[in-house]
Parts: sequence; structure tokens; C-alpha cells
Amino acid sequence: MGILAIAFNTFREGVKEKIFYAIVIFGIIIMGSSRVISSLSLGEVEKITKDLGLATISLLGLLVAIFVGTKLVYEEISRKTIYTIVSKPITRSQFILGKYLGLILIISVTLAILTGFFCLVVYLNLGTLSLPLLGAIALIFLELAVITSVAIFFSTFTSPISSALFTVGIWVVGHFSGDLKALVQMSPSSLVKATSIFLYYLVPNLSNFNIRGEVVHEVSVPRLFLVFSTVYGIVYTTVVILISSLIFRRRSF
Amino acid sequence: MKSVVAVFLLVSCIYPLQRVIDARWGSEEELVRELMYFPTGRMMKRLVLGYDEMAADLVWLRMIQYYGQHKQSDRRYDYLGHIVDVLTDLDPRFIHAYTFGALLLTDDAKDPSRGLGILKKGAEYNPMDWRLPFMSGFIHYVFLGDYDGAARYFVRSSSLPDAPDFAGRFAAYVYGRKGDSDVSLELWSNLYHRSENEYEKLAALRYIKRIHTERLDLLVRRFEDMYGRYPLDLTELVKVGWFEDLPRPPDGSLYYLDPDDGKVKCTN
Repeated sequence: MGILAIAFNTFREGVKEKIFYAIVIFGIIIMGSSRVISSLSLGEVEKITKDLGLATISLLGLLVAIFVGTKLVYEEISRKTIYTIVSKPITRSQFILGKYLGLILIISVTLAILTGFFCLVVYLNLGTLSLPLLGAIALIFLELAVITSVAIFFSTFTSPISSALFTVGIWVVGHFSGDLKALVQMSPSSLVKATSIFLYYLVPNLSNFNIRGEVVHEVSVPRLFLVFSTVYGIVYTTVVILISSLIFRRRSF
Repeated sequence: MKSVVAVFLLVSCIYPLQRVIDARWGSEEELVRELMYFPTGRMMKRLVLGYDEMAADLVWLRMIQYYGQHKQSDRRYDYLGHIVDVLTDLDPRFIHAYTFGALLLTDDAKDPSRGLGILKKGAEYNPMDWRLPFMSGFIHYVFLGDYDGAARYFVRSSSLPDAPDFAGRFAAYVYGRKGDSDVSLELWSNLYHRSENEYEKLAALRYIKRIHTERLDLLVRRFEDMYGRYPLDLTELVKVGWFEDLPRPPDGSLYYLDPDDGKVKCTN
């Protein structure tokens, strides 16, 4: 019960942030402009509408996760509201989990609004909707769930600016994981190989959640890949939230 | 009040400042400078952090802009091949980028080997797509006059999944009528009706009109040889039985005989 109360409270706090509305409005404007942009595209209306919409949903969801997520725990400490919370019959792990779920709720609402508008734009531009687009958005949501857990993790022990920078760093490296693997194969140095392998498994492999190209080009994605990616996302997120709880439990205020 | 006036004054300076910048260091210059430093597609693929398709769309729009600017000015397309390469590295499944890029490289940049190279690259990434060998056949037939090569590609195209009937039809045409301008005319008409790309349509229309006017000119000369005068108008060619109907370009314009020089021209 305590977890849900924290989650809803976090959601209420989050949606009060002006940046949340700015991001959603910005997303709607970008997707709305796809009609104009695709009119210059020499017959590539479908591709550009879908690419632009999916990229917008993914990038703006990331911005919400970073801007809102990295402040949540820090603000409770800096405003000293954490004392009120920890004095209640609630563990610190429950607090972290509640914060995480609250942020996931904010991201869900953001994605739901942007997806609704995206479907409208696709329908207006192309006269039809395709179900696989929602599959791509579901995996974007999973990617954001992983990144949100990383943002919460950093926010348990650093300032919002540092957490934002570290989270962006992890997001960037997460998209380079294919190169890390290539480095393992190419490098003659065993130290470089060991470090690359370690980083490859440590940092979330975000390409597991990217099927945007396949969906736009109507290439089928193996069902098993989707299952493994989903399980990977859930396991990775759980691990990061557990570690965040462990750190937060040892923290003194 | 002073600050409001200052803001208005400064804002009114922006327009003339930008005009001067555009006039002296125009956007085309900027575009060329930018393209010179366009990194390779493989490098860009890493830099765009998973947004490959979106980045490819931006490069596609930039390619259209680059092509349009040069088509209206110097007709030099030095960076076109590089842009198509980057574009298809970023999104290897972007079939229209291969086919359109190949057509521009062959027709406008006069570099058919690069155009065919792009199509070969596309076929390596998309071996089951009929449009890539079809365009290779098209280039071999229309631009290179390599009818055997064209036939091979049309046959390959027609054997792939989802290939339309006309791919097989062209394979048969090319085998039966090597070098026949009817086949070229069919190929261009097919492209004109199939494409949603304005530039492709324009190129197709240009070639359709060229083939039609060359044929009509030939018949006008024949008429002149037979009757010792130009026909009064092109319908006389129909009256003598050389045509059932006069050919008409697909954009609705009309061919006419210019009485001054006896040449066939088009109203549009």
C-alpha cells in the first residue's frame, strides 16, 4: 500500500513539472509537422511519418525519464521531506520502488499521449494504422523503463545534474554495445578484451529494444527475440532497482 | 519604454543581416561545405545512436535539396554518390533510396557504373526485393544499350517474391526486341505511372516526349519526302494511316508541328 501511495504521489509531483507539458507539446508539434516534411519527401510520406513519430516518442520519453527521474530522490532529500517519509512505516526499498513506479506512470502517460497523437497523424497521412507500430512503441517503453531505473540509481547518491549526465552516458554507451562486442573480437590485448566484455554485459544493451527500422520497413521480427528482449528488460530493471535500494538503505541523511 | 524600442530596433536588424549573409555566403555554398565533411555512413550509423532511419530520412531530404539546387544551377553532382552511399549505409532497407539514387547517378551525374554499384549494394542487403534488379535492367536497357544484361536482370526481378507482372513482361520484351525503342517507351511509361517521386516522373516524362518527338519527326520527314511538303498538322500522319491515334504524353500535353522549322514540339 505504501509503495502505491508513493508512486501516485510521485506521479502527482511529476505531472506538476512544467517540463513535462513542454515535452508533450513539443512532441505533438514535431509529429504534426511530419505532414509538411513528408510533402517534400518525393513519395516517402509513409516512411518519414512513421520514422519521425517513433523517433519523437523515443527521444521525448527519454527526456522525461532523465529530467524528471534524476530529480525525484534528490528533491525529497534537499526539501527534507524524506524525514517525514522515512518516519512512516515504510522501508527505504519500498520508497525507491514507489518512486520508480511513479516515474513509470509518468512515462506511460507521456507515451500514451504521444502514441495517441502519432496514431492520429499516421491515420491522417496514410489513411491506415498498423499494429506492429504499437509493438515498436512497447519496446520503446521497455527501453525507457530500463533508462528510468538507471536514472533512479544515480539519483540515490548524486546531484540531479550528475545523475542526468551519467544517465545520458549510459544511454549513449548502451547504443554502442555492438561496437564493444566488435572491440572484443578485434583487439589483441586481453585487458581490452576483458574490459570490453565486462562493459558489454554491464551496460544495458539498448539495441535489444529497437525494432523501429523493422516495423517501418514491414520486416517481421522473430517472436522469440521480442520475448527475450522483454525478459532482459525486466531482469535488468529489477537488478538496477535492487542495487539502488541497497545504496539508499545505507545512506544517512 | 526604451528597452521595448531597443528590442524592436534589434529585431528589425535581423532581416537585413540574414539577407546579407544569404547573399554573400549563400545556402548552396553552405550545403556544399557541409557535404564535404559528411562522414561515412558507417561512422554516422554509430553517431546517431539507434536513430538510423530518422537520420536516413534527414539525409534523404538533404539529397533532394542538393539534387534540386544543382539541377537548377550548374548540373554538377559531385557529392551525389557519396550522399546516396551514406543514406543507404544508414538505412540499408530504404529501397527507393537505391533506385532513385541509381537513376540520378546514371541519368544526371552520367555515372552509370556508380548507379549500378548502388543497386548491387542494395541487392546484397535486400536480395529478395524485385525493384533493385528491375532498376538494374532498366539502366542496362535504356542507358547502356546492354540488352542481354537488361534481360538477365528483368528475368531475375520477375522471379522474386511480390514481383509484378510487368517485370516478367519486360523480360520477354527485351529478349524478343533488343534495342527496340518501344521497349524503352514502355519502361519509361511504366516508371511514370508507378512512381510517386516527382523527379522520377519528370525524368520519365522527358524521355517519353523525346522518344515520341523523334518518331514523329521521322514520319514528318517521310511525309515530306513522299508529298514534297510538310503535313498541315500531325493529324495528317493519322490520315495517311501511319498511326491509329497520335501519341500523347501522360501529362496531358499535345504534340504539334511547328510550321516555321517543320519540327515536332510539345505544348508543355
